[in-house]
Amino acid sequence: MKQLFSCLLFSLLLSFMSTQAASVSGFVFDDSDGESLTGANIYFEKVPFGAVTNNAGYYVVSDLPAGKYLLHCNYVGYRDYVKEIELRDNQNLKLMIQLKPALMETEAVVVSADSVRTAVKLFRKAISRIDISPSEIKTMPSVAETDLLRMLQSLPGILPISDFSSKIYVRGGTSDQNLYLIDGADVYNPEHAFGLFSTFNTDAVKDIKISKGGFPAEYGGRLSSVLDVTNLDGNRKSFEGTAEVSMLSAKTTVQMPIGHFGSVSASYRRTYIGETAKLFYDDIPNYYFYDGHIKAFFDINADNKLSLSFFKGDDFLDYTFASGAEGAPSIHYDWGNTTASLRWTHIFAPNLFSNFWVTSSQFDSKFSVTEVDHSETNDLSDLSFKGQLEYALSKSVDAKFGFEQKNLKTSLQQDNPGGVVDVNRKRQYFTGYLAFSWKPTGDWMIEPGLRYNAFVSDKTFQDWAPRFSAKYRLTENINLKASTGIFYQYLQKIPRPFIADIWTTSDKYHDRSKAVHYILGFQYEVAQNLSFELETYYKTYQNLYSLKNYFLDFKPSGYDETGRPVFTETKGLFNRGDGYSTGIELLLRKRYGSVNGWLAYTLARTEYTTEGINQENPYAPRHDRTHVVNAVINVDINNAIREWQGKTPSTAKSNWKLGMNFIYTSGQPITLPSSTYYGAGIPDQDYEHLLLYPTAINRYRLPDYIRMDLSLTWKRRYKHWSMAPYLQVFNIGNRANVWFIQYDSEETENQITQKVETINMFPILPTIGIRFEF
Amino acid sequence: MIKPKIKRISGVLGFLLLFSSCGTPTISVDESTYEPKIVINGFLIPGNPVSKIKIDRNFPLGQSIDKNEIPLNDAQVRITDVAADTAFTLSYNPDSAWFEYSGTDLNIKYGKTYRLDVSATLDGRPLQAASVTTVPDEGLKIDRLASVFGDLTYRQTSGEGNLISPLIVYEQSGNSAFYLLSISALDAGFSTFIYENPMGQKLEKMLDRGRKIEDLQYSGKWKRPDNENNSYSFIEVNWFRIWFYGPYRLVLYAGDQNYYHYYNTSNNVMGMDGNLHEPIFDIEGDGIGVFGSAVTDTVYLNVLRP
Repeated sequence: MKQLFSCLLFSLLLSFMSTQAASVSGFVFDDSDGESLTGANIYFEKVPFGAVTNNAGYYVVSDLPAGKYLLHCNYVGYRDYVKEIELRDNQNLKLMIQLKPALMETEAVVVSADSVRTAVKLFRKAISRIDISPSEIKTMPSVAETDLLRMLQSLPGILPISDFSSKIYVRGGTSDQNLYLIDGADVYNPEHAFGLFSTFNTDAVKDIKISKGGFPAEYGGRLSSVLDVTNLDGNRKSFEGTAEVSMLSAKTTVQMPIGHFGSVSASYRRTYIGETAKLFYDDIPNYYFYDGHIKAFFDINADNKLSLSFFKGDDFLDYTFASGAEGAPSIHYDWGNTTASLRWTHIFAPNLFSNFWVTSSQFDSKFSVTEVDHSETNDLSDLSFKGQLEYALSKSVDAKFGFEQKNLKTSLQQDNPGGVVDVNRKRQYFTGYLAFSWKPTGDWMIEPGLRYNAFVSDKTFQDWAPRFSAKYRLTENINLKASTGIFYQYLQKIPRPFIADIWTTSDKYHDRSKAVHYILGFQYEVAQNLSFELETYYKTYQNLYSLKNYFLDFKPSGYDETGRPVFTETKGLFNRGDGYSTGIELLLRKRYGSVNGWLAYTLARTEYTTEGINQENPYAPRHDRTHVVNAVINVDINNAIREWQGKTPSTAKSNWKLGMNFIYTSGQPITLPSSTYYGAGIPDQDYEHLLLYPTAINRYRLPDYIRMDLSLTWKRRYKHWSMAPYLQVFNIGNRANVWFIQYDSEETENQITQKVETINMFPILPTIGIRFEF
Repeated sequence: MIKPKIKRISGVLGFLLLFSSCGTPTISVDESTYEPKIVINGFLIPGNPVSKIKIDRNFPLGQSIDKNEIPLNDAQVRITDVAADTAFTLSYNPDSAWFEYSGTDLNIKYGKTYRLDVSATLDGRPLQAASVTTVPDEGLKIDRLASVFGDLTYRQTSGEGNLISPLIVYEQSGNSAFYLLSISALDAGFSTFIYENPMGQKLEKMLDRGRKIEDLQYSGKWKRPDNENNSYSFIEVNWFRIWFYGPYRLVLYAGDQNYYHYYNTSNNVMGMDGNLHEPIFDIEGDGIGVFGSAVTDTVYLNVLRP
């Protein structure tokens, strides 16, 4: 593989050494608010190659012969930009493009005019990557609160474990195999409310990219997926804001310019879940969470931009088992994430674009139970330095290279009468990568890459992770894609019910985890703005770690001064395993228009083989589902009727929007009891329990999971502001989807009658709220 | 012409999706998951006769079971003193439904290893099971001077106002895997129930919710061995574990590895996600349950009304 890479590198450098002609470069902005636009298309009439703006809104088209060109810039929801330019030999033309929104008020989902073919856009998109716009998330019905991770659960290949969790499981991987990035900073535990909601505030989000596999060399450190979220830079032209109140939360986002050289955006969300729940139920804990985000963007000059981003979110819980009773045990728990990032964007030359980050991510939690004298702190911090450079070598070759250095600290301290846990770790992670994008002809794109990882713990791990993908335009309407790569992960998460998961790292006892992805894709432009994608994948895993069910034979490292055992090692904490995932995903998607959405089907299989589990026979993990059907439809009712009547869409003073989300999954694996039996726990107690003896692990399946959610929004526009009251209904059919099975028995003098009951997931859950924009 | 058709198809499709997302799926767990097993429940305690070895059968889920059919009274049960390589055959006592050794030449001793062999025919299938236990060493002893037991007023406080909780201070036994304090109310009932228990739920309410009075009457609290150089350790009985006024029996066990695994896993096979996982049983062959050993010491507590 290394030799192949060297050959490719050499041939690409040869291509670079050819003559260098003129170039055009610059940024693409939204004319109304100055926000940079990611993914805008730049192309020339009669010249086969163009460019797409990167995350910072920057583009470069190099290697252009001198001459006159008609430059087009296009972005969905905006008017087409056309400009005639004349280039001289070796001229580097800088062209800042301001795109005007197509309508007075940007309704991106309604606009369908788009001069770039859908098949071309599909071709440019990386394999297994899905782009989501914030407006798509906001239109989807949700469980009380619009949530990014829950929205992703409606995409093929991405699944939840239950209604009660926003965690995602991508193509058979576990939830700790996903890399979450906010403005370049890693987020380690992106969960509020014990996993019910995620920490991403959708009002503050500008751009979302989820890669389900085969991701390029610039990403690493996780086995399964990458969620890259970019927050709003802020409105550079005028003050604007949103505010929303629902039954569970209130939130606001504001954006404003900072003079002529920058902008700032800030958002804040505070829930009152505990207070609302107390209206319906007794004995509810005091609970709420808040999160806030602020981002400042400074446009220093044409070649230097700076952005500062800060996020903080905290959850607070207090519960007393018998409020007012003397000696009642109580639980106090607070946890949260703080992330900060400083990004410097520098253009060394028109064809050499760079981003440098300093990021900090911190998670901390404090948990205590009075009366039993139990306390715990669980902290993680990550200070990272990274750089990424994009080099347009020629009109057919682009290169990306970069580095990252991470300083990780994890700490878990537990103190209770039975013993002490004191685990402190400092780790360093170094990476460097190089990736090329080579277009040998207009129909081919070859993307080789190589990533080097060095992870320093009590043992040093050094790994080369090659990546390779190829795309081919078979016809005007059809693209073929393939990708493969090796992925390493040096962090494992210890999942825990109720309280926050703990991160631990590879060390002399736990080898790093490894996955190999093989992906094939087929893309078909059914019509303009209507795409069909088929992807099939096969993933292998090595060294998957799952937490042992019991910690009984865990040896203490020593004893404290009072004689209590002290645990400082993670040896014996995990069961090691291997596995594979395979599947096929079909996605029919219409991204824009008065009726948009997608229909998806997934056929998948995942099996793990784990030491000490299921007598080391393969088993399906709980997140495995064989068949999944997703249907998401968003309808702008007024414009749909207009289109139906043959009229063009328009921005009416008021309009109605309907959202529908339907999901069908075949049954979740479950372990059933093979039998029951009597057991006496303690010899002197004359009391026997009826106990369960399990069968083979996850051999059976729960009934199919089916759910339909609906949302209805009425939006009324006024001169300077608008309001949108909404109704959302989660599980409108009130289907009793089974979460797990409960076993019970009734005993008479000589007879035992056993009962099997189901514990179900969320019933029908209606929510109302109102949203303001000003 | 096409539009009305699309309208109709969309309507029918929407209705079908909505219809399919209603309802209550049913679950039936039948005999197809059943595998017959010999259920062993036996402990060896130094100084005590071998008289409480319970050999039962398991049974399929979802059935009504006649309790008289549970003991495997025709099982072949044998205990072997491994060091001496001497086997002792146990016989079934129909009054107690336990297997016992009626001779006098089997004396369970500290630190010695014993093996249990069971064979029985269950549902027409010949089954065999075996397990080995090593009895913990001598030494377990409750320090009666340092411990707090005997007569104690519910949530008694000291002159300084500090809460005094029942406390068992004990000298540790070598070679034990864990220490378990058995807490048994000897006079449990509605009239002795402590309604002021800080867990705050009334007995009737708890029973309505399916809890049995025995769930409150009997409990246990366990601890790993403390520093071997520090031979003393302690277990505090939190007041919220005390649900009844009156006498309590507090039995301290120094248990072996088999008992440690069984006590902590047999009744703990359901995770927080509702799924089941495997218990740890130190039994070979077709058996489940426990064949363990322990060293014990006992004191009594009397909880007085304030």
